Amino acid sequence: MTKKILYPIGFTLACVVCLAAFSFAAGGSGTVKAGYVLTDEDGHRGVNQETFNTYEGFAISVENFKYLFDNGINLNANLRKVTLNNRNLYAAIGKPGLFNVSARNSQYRRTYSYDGTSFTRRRFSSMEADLKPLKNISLFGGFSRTDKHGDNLAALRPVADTVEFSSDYTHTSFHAGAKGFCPYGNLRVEYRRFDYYDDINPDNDREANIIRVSAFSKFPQHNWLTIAAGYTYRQDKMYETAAELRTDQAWGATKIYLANHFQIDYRLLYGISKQKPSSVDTDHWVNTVSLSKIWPRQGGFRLGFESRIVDDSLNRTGSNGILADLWYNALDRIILKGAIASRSRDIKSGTVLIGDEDYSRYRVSAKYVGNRWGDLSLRYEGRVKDNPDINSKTDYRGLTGAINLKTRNLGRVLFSYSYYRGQFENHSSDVSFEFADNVLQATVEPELFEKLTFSAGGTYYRSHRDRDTEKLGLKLSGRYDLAMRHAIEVTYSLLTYDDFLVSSDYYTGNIVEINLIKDLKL
Amino acid sequence: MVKQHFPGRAVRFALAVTTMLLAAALLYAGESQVDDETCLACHDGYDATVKNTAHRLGSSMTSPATDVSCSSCHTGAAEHADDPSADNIINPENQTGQEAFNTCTTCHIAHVELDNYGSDPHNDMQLNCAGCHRIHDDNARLLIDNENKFCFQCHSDVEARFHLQSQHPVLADNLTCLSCHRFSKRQDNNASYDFQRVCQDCHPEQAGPYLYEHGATSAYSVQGGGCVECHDPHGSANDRLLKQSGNNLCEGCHFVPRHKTAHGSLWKDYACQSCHSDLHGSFTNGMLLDENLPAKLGLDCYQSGCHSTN
Repeated sequence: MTKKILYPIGFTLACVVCLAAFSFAAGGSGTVKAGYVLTDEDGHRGVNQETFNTYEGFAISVENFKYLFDNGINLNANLRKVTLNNRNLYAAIGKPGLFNVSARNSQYRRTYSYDGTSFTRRRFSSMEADLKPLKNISLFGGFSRTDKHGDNLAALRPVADTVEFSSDYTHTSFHAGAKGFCPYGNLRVEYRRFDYYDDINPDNDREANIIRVSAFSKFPQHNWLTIAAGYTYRQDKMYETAAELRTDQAWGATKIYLANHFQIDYRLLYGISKQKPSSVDTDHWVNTVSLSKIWPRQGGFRLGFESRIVDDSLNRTGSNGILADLWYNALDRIILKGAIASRSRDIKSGTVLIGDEDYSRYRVSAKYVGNRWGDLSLRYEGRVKDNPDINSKTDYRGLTGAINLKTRNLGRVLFSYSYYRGQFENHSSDVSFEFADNVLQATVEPELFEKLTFSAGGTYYRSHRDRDTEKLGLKLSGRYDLAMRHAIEVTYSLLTYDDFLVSSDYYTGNIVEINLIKDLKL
Repeated sequence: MVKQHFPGRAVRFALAVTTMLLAAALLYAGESQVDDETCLACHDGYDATVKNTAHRLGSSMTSPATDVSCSSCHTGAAEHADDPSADNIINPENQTGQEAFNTCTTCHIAHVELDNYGSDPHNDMQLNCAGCHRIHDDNARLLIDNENKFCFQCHSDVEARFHLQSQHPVLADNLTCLSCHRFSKRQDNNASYDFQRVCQDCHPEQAGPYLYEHGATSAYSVQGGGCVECHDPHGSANDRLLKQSGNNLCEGCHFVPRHKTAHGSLWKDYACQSCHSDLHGSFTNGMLLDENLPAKLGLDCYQSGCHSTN
């Protein structure tokens, strides 16, 4: 039913945009594409490949369309592949500063099994509107609908197990609100409602009602101070089980600008969650404070502290965390960054699954920016987690390097190589693993001829984890400009995938797309 | 006398604040120093470069929705009109990052909200707003170039991740960087479970809130947490954008030796997710176990009293 309604609406919108474009004599531009998509897949269907969203067939697109009416009203549209199932449609009409109405519709699928039998399809439609009846007041609202159905399959290697899930749900969302603002602050009030219907497991059917109020203010004579505060009410109800979850949350924040680019941030959050039928109330307290200093464009640092308390009468946990980060920019060429964060959580009373926990993470990175030839970057990061109650200690380290080369001497030439390497150990057991990924990309767009433009791009990817996989993607594209702003464009894509440990997991896809293009100038 | 409940007082307080703010807003009136006609007499054609945008000059419209004038951004216009020189008028594009930020956020207050609650590295680096936005242009959101390609110019390492085994469909044009990286209206992101709102817009089936949450889905402002604790949203070498494959991911936080040895090592080769299928959260049990586990295993682990679900 919904498809019967929404698809014609989307298509009608597309037609209206096209007709509008041709009906008026000035003030518009865009591109109309009409063509055919051919796909040829060899071996197996594309699990997690780029082809998951490719459908074969006749395709019409209206891209980057803009039309300005004399009274200031703008019409914008991006309608990609209106006639295919992987459509991605967006259209908006509005007068800047007065109103805007926009609509979206998109759909895509993913394939999870090599025989193509397990796949999901997600569709999304929405409409948003805002109106400014007065200079300092804005009203807004919208509606969206997401539905997803199909089966997905998780091959949970390295263990010999496979899990299959089915989805068939509809999620609708409605919201409306108002915002009042002046140069010194604003106030926002918003109501949201969600409905979720699960056709496979009706026990998951639920609704949520949310009210949010937030305010922000600077002070006219005291630019060094800003404050903000808010309140959120949320109630979730399960239809079948009559379970309820209600949360009331209040928060406040301030930012204090001191001399010499020093700055203090403070935030306090309090929330109380109530459950039915268990009648468990949970209190949450969060305090965060940080001090930072910036040397404009040259560097800066931040030191922060956070404390959290979660208390549901039976279980009470408290955690304290620290954060420190700094960055340094030398002559806009070398950018160094470092950050470390650590948190310690104690179970004050009761029991929690993974017990007391000390958790730290860190990262350092360096990037050299060569304005003429590209850039070079290196990042090292790690995480250390210690759970003495369950005798577990884990250590993860990762290294990422990337080099990007570019030149405009012969058109546009881009080359990049990224390297990811990681190692993980659980010191309290024999669990460990390593991985290495290599990604090589290149794009060439030579400017050799006046009417013929050509681009070639490719990606080679190799990963060593529990699988040993290789993936290659090539994309060749050519466009020839014809008379009266017409053009013809041909794109060929080749995608391959191989798992060297599982010989049956391979994929080859060939995709050819031919389009006749008309650039509109109205 | 009936005792007033908190929500009632809160609503009255909110109404009072609303009234005050709106009154202040209505009283405020920005004045342009020099009319646009004076500016355009020399800078001919510049009105055309903003006519399709929110910066369209109020003077060029019969019923202006906003009162933007040249001098709204280019302060110092009065002196400049008397003595035309590039030195006596402000061009935000040539200002320092902080100065340009102050100029633009006179109207674009949503970016100040971001500055207040979040930490935007673009601000830290003192990047000028004009580094990403070209005001005298009519691109969508005034961004200098096609959104994704533009972001990738600096964030090339992120582009590489979109070529990995599983990825969000950014290169397929179903999403843009800005679909997730919202540089304004982000004020709710620090609020408890709403932190995940960006993800939940498209993935409501995992959204919750649940009666029994998976602890990893909680947002820690100090060091990560939330969806990105397990998923790499740009791209991953593993299925489902997971940071590690299979049980490796779970064992990064959880290691329960008895799972490997109990019942004659019966469950040794099973995936954690085979039993703990409600891994985003559960409405029925704190172990996030499959509701139908007894039927699935052909035996009831709980009736015997050996195991509990919470």
